Amino acid sequence: MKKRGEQKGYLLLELMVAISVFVVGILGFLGLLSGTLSLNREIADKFTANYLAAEGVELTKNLIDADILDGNPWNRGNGGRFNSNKCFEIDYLDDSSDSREFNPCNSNSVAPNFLRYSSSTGYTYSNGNSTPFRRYIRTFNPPAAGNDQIKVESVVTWQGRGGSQNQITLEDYFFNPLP
Amino acid sequence: MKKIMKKITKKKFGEQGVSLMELMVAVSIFIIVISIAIGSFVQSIRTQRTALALISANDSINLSIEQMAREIRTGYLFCTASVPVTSSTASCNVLENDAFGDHELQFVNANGFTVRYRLNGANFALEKGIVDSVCLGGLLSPEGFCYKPITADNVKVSIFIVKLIHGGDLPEANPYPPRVTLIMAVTSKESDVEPLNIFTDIETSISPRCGQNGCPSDI
Repeated sequence: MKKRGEQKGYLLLELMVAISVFVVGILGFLGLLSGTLSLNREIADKFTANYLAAEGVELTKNLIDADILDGNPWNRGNGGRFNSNKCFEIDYLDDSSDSREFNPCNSNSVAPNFLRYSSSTGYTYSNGNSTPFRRYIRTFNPPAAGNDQIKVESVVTWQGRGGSQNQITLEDYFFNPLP
Repeated sequence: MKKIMKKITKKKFGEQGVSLMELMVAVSIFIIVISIAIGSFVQSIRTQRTALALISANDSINLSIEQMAREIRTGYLFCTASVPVTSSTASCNVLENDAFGDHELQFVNANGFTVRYRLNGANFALEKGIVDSVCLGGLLSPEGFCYKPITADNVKVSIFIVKLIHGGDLPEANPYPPRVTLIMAVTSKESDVEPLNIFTDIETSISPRCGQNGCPSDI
């Protein structure tokens, strides 16, 4: 029989250090793994959001052209959409009678509606399944006589798989074609 | 020398050290942990390769979309199967390869040439068609359009739909500029990525800049 003073074994402290080293190692691996597994989706989302933001700018240009062709002032947003106090949502089906404005409109704004996607009609507000994407257009430099420039921001926000908040902002300037 | 011998013999008979059982347990734990680690490492490398392939395919389609967008932006007289042009001067014939819907777009580009964009369902490539009866290295359609791919070999486009709003209208009938919306689903053709079916659902719209009296068709 061994003497009490010579009993061998681990101290609690040693055990705790060993376990914590192990846990830190495992956590590092799991973090790496979950990061890479959601990477594919994240890339696809970023590309999609980029095109959606570009579409927002292009649709804004379409509104300007529509007003010019209709003989209206060029910078009113086809029915008063261009307003420095309000942001607006638009999809490619949007017509002059549709008006999806909201306020307050500032750099922290989040569009109220999610875009929906169906493989036959694309991204709209009316058809298909809900997507994580929200888009709004913000215009600067309020319409005024003699104001020949308008700044347009197209902002797409979406929540990633891991809960991260993502945002893409495209900015463009349009000018009065008939100053 | 004597000392060492003494040590060894002491070890042998004093039974100090690791037993076979302990060694086996330790080694098996080690093997389990290492195999999990290597497995996850290999998996993450594979995911990274998939991600690279997708980025490459998306970058490539980006170039094709840019090419189409530029031509569409300066084009006029747009038409698809469901939105035929109503002008008396131009014709939008029944588009071949279009039994299912708006999978093909026809318009006149800035140089006055009639061009078509369509999806080739056989090899999942986007194609541009121009009137060319010689058609070197392309696909000649019965209507005389010569189709050549505009997407790279590593890109698979599984959906291509063109939505045309105010497209076929005469300028006098409707003062709105046309709105061309391209909808597509894109992935990589690489053999280990394609079966994963990770599609990027792309949609973008183009507003042709052609205003009233700005297009050759309006004059």
